[in-house]
Order: sequence, then structure tokens, then C-alpha cells
Amino acid sequence: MTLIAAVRCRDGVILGSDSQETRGERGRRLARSTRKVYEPRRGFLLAWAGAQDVAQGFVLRFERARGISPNTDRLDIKDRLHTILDDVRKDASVEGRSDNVEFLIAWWSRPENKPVALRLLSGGASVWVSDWEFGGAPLGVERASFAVGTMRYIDPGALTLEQAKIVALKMLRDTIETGVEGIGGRVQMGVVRESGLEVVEQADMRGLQDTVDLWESRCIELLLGRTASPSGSKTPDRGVRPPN
Amino acid sequence: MYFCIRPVRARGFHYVWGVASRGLRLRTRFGGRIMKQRDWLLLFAAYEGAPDGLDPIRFQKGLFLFAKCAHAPERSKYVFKPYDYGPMSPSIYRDLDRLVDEGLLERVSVPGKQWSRYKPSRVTFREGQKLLKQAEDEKLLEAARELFEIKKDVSRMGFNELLERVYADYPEFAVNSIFRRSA
Repeated sequence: MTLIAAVRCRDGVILGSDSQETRGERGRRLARSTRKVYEPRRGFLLAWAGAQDVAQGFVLRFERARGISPNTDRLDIKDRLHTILDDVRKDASVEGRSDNVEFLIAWWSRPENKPVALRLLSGGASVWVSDWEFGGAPLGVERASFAVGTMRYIDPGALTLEQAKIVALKMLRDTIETGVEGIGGRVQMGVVRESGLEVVEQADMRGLQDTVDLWESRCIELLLGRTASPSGSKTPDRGVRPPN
Repeated sequence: MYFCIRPVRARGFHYVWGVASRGLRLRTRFGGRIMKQRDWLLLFAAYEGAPDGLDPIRFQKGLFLFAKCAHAPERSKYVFKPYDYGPMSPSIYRDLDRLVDEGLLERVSVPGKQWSRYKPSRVTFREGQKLLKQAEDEKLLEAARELFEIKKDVSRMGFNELLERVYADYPEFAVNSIFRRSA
């Protein structure tokens, strides 16, 4: 399984996930890294959780589907997505594995001129994302909900996209660090804003990770006042200095 | 099989000698190769002030403040953009990684953080001495002294103080900061 998350903020939507794909039976499981957040077709961002072949089948059909664009009414898009997923599930080769697949799909709805995101479940249900939404391994979803609960004083609707990225990253990495089985690896992220989509590359994730660390460090300073600075170290300093 | 080989244009001895000697003059004018951005980064790491190393934020802020110094040569300055935590240069991340790969810095993990501290070692200090000599040869000792003062400052300050100072002095680099200023 996996963990996928969506958050709607003031000026966009963020989709995020872990990057671990787990295969095999219990006790003989193998994990490897895989991409779970990407742009399957122009204007749409997608994150998937569940069986990879089922997800791939859905994505391939979604890529090829005609007449779906951010200009389409969002309710029509929702119906089309359900139809595509139903088609995938009719495939006998994925029978038994298609019961636990979930998607988060986000786009900038042109008719409504606002960001929208849909959580699509294989059972035929779907939920529009209003603030936070999660999918994937039940224990992971539980931990992620708890992580968000610890930040309930932050209203995602009041955050800018950049601020929401940091909050989403903190939630994802805190959840990954709890070590839930089937969830792991680096955080992946993509954003939908009015000007377009962006899948955040790993090089850019580094700056975001540092921002979260900085945020946490500043929280500590807020509570404790100034914390120990690097110059206060007891380690003998053998550093160089320029001549006077 | 037929290979189309583009004929190499013959160059005269004087042309080749001219190019080679120009490069040589450029390299030796300052007593070796010219100090580059990453040399200043390494010197910053080698200076006393933080024997256990510094986090990437302090490297970013330190080298940013150095880029604003009067004596810092243009070619030694990293290019910064306003980012989530103020001025940031992706090249600093890249150069820190390279310095670690080359054994000139040690990466030390920090409990509870994703970032690592970059710690100087004996090799760092030895290289630092060489770079100081080079700075002297290039008549850049004043810039080296400014960098030293910056290292002392950023190593002494907490994150809140450091960020507030940078945001106050260079508000144009705080425009994309996700942290709202307290005043």
C-alpha cells in the first residue's frame, strides 16, 4: 500500500505521497521506489495508491480518453473518471486486486475558476477535497490524520501555496517516520495552481525539507528562547582564521 | 563502413602557444588558480566558530551576506533567489555535496531533522590554510576577513535572529518567504 494526500489551500491544491512500492506476500515483501505523483494528461495531476497494474490501467485509459479537459464541467469529469475506473475493473486480469485502489486527481477548473481535487475510490465512491484528504494504507491514513490533527490550529484555506507545501511536507514526513508498513521513501509532491501544474523535482524538495527543519527549529526557539548555537559547542575548535 | 571525418583545421604554433600562454598567465597571475565560489564556501566551513559544523541554512545565509560585502569579488559570489526561507542559491547545495564527495567536508546527520550538518575535518582546515594563503596572494585578505566575521555572526545567532536580520536588511529577498515577519 501507500499513502497519498491532498490539501486545498488559498490558491491551489497540493498532492503528495510517499514513494515506496511494496510487492509480495506477508513476510516476503520487497520494497522499491516508484513515482506516485505525476501529470497523466495536460492540466491534471494524479496520485495513486494500491495495486500498480490497476493504477497503470486507469492512467492509460485516462490519458487516452477524449473530451476531458480542465474546461469541462467538473461533475462531467467525475462521471467520466468513474466510468474509466469501472472499465478497468472489468478486466479479468486485475480481478481481486482492483478492490483497493484509490486516486487523488486535481486540476484547475476553468468553468469555476478554482482548484478542485477528487478522491476516487474503486468501490464507486468519490469525495471532493475540501481541506485535507488521504488515501492508501488504513494505518497510514490514520497516522496522517493524526499528524494533521496536531496542526489543527492551521487552517489550510488560509495558507498560500508555498506555505501549504511546507505543512503538507511536514505531515507526510512525520507520517512516514512513524514506520507504518508499506509506507516509506522520499516524499513526492505536485501542485495545481491557476497558472498550471508542477511536479516538484527531488532537487527542489531539498529546499522544502530545509524549510520544514527551519520551521521546527524556530518553533523550538519560540518555546525555549535561543537554543544552543553552533559557536557554543564544547568541541575544541581547530578552525582557521585570517591574519590580522 | 564509411566514416565522414571532418578535417581538423591546422593551427600554427604561434596560435596554439598564444592560447596556452594566455590561460597560463590567467592561472598564475594570482599565484595559482583563481579563487572560485566553492573555495569561499570551503573557507567559510574551515573557519573557526562552529567546530561541530553548520546546517545548510547557515551556509546559505553566510554566503549570501558575503555576496553583499564590499570586498567580495564578483566572481566569488553565488547567485541567490528569494525563496521560502529568504535568499537561497541551489549552487550552494550542489557545492556542499561535492565537497562531501571529495572528502573535504563531513556530513553529519542531525537527530529529528532531515538536514545534515556539514562538519570540517583536518583536511578542511589544511585546505582552509591554503585558501587563506591564496586569498593573500590574490590581495583578497579583506574579503577573507569579512567572511570570517560573517562566520562568527551566523554561528552565534539563533535561527529567528538570523532570519530577522537578513529579512530586515534585504527585504527584497524576503518576498517569497513563507515565514511572516514579526514586525
